[in-house]
Amino acid sequence: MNTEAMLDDEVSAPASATAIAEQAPSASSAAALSDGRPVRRPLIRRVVLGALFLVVAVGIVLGSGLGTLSSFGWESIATICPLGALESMLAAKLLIPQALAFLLVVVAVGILLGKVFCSWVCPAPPLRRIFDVVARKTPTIRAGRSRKADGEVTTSLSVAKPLSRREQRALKAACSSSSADSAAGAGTPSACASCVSGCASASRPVLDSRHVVLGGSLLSAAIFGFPVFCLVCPIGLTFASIIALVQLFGTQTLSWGLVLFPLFLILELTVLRTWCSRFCPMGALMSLFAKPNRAFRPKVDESKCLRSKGIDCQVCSGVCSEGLDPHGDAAMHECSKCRDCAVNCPAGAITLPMR
Amino acid sequence: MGPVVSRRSLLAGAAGAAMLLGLGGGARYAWAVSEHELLRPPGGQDAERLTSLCIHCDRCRQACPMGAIESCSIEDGLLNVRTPKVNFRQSAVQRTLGTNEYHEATTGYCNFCDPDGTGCATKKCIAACPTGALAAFDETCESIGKAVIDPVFCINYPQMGQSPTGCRLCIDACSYEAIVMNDLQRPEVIADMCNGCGKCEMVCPSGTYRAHIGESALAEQAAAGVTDYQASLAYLRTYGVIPRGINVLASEA
Repeated sequence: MNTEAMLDDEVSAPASATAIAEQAPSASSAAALSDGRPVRRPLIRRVVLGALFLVVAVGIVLGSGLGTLSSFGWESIATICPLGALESMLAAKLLIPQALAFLLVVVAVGILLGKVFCSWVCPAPPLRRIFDVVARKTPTIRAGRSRKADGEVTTSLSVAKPLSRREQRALKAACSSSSADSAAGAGTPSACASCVSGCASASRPVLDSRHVVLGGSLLSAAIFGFPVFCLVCPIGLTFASIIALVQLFGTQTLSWGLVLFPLFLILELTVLRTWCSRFCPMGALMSLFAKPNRAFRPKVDESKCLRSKGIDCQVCSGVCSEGLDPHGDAAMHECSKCRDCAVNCPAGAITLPMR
Repeated sequence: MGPVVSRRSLLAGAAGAAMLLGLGGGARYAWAVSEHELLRPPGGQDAERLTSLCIHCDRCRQACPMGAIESCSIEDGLLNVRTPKVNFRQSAVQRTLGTNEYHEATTGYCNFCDPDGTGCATKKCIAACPTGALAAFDETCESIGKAVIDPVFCINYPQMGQSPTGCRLCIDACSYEAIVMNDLQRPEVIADMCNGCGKCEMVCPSGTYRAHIGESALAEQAAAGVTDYQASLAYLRTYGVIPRGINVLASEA
């Protein structure tokens, strides 16, 4: 099969594909081509996240009384962090009607919109992307070429994230043990990254480490009588850092929090890079509520998808913050409706319809 | 159908859960030990209720029209991090900026959201609290704390070579007639009338007039066995700030 001809066909098709598809045919070697193009994030999501963050931050500075994400609203009409509500009810051994009522709203949102909180509200993922930019670790979409054992050349598109040291070690072990299979393409970060993300999204058990952390945080709150997880919650730490700054300038209160809140936040989001998928009990709670969700799941038009044209394209699963493959992943309820797959698909084959 | 949870993620999750349990225990028993009760916003006097229900949302601090609520930091104990406390010292700069009415307090204390004294105003911090950590509060019979005179810093007491003045700022500031001038021309707090609103501490000028009494002077006199100085030093050690001539202290429930 002549993949170059296939790719040339693709160039004329969707606009988003051109940048990469044009590079791919002109390459002659097996190495990854140039630096690739950066992963795009939907503009509307960035605007929503930025606006929300700004409203809360300005509210903190001016003392609007709107609150932070832990509770946001006016007087008794307010959102309440569902995890915080559960924790404090367990800690005080007391039912709070207002919190219970809002918990029902959260469940309804989970059923209707899934884990929408994780990519449209939570400040932690965008903060980590900012840290990534500072550390020059932004993922890019790259094209590569690999020759299989039988001599057939496969073009691949994948998202290359700079790997953590542990991942690199694991990869080195994996690549050296199966060096025969991965002949030419192996060694380039793009090829390895695609195999990592492929492994990660293979199959998911019903529960994972986040749910265990969720159980631990509820148990800890019940035993020790206060919402323990709030102390280390990245969302809380984000706004605590702002509050500490406001108090430094507003009321001349100098405290260790000024250093320790941002420090812990950065540690959680950089050292524990897998915070969202491994540890976040908030995400765990949302994923439980999102179990029945069916709406706004990414739909792949297989006839447009590059995979149907013999190209090993892993862009959609590579950009997914939840490590999902929209081509029918078993854990599709984890989808946070971020639209990253739809925006980055080189063939424009992915949509997020109502059903 | 695979296992409910893989061993690898069970281990990672268990590590996270164990850290949270350790953090909870540590906050409760190891680092929580702040020797004093914190001064809480109205309705937060039950420390157990406040720490268990507060979800650290910052809404009471933002809602306070007087700017008297502050968010606790790590110095106040891990258990209290980001819970609210009241601070009657905080807006001295703001208060005196662009005015020469230096002893008029318009912010920085608790007026129970009731500046006209109608007696039925909604307290904004309590209304903003989403979990009821700040319970209903009646300032006519409950109190945030009690004002206590510090004879070392009150400028109506002779101290460190200074002669007493006839300062009446706290007496005039008090809206509840809880401070009176006694026969020795010194202010005296009637504890039953005081609800800890903090206006007296706010207007107290001791910071200016007794600026020369610092920690070293306090420690020196305390070591010499002067009881007033020992009390002032104890205040400094627990609250981390130099006392004023009159200070609101959390009353033991």
